[in-house]
Amino acid sequence: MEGEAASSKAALYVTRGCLIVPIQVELDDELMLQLQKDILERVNKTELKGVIIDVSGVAVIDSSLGQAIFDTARMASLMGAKTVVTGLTPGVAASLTDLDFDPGDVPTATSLEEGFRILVPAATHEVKPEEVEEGLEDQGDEATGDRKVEPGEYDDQADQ
Amino acid sequence: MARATREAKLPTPVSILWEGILLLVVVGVVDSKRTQEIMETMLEKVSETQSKTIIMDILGVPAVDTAVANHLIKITKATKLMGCECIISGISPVVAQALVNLGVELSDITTHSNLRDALQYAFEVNGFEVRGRKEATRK
Repeated sequence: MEGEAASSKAALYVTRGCLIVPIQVELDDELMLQLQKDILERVNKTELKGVIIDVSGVAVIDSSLGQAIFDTARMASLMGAKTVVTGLTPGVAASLTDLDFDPGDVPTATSLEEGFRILVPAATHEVKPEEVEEGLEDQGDEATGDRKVEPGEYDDQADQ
Repeated sequence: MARATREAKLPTPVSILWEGILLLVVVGVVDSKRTQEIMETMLEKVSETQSKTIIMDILGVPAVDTAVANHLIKITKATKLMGCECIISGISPVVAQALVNLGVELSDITTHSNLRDALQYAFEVNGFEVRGRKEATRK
């Protein structure tokens, strides 16, 4: 029972075949380690297209937490679940860069929707009836794949 | 001294060049203070627009030495953390020579001598292609 109190801090859910890990608070080392364990267990047990770790709810990420998050992403990838870290705020990006933080080759994105695009390219994805689309309706229509430059649009730029 | 102050006060606005493509034209000396300002402006815009690419044109930066190069590299790392690729354009022959002679490592960053090529690359990254039309429309 001990593990459950720590793991309930971040509710992990699966949507569109991806495990979503929303981190809403600054986690200390112990909680982060527990979360890492939970994520890897889920990856092990569930068939997933990938994992999205969303940190848009965290205002401050120090290098130790940053390292743990990106390490978790790398671990999940080693287990076959490509992982994207989304939602790094400008403040967090700036401070991590100041600390010379190296994200390695873990992909990052500003939004959850972009995270999905990286994990599940639009062309190949079909929404299955049993998949739950929670809270993603308000992402807007731009998120639906490539858009060709229409003939009229680029010409205006050509004069420059 | 006055010139440096004037340049420090030069605003560095980030423009939306196209969907998913931001543009920042840097003119003048780039020191650590200016780098901070540029970085903040860029990151805010990246967050606001969720752009995948940002072109930073440095044709107007007078001297690119190791310090300046490191400032620029730092900026590209910051945007990368937010999932936005920073493309550097405006690398003149003189600057290219300086960078290589100084042993600056820019291998992870896409760089171009001119804005047009940088834009072409940015279009590709965003999945756009440009087609010509038989007749151009003039208003």
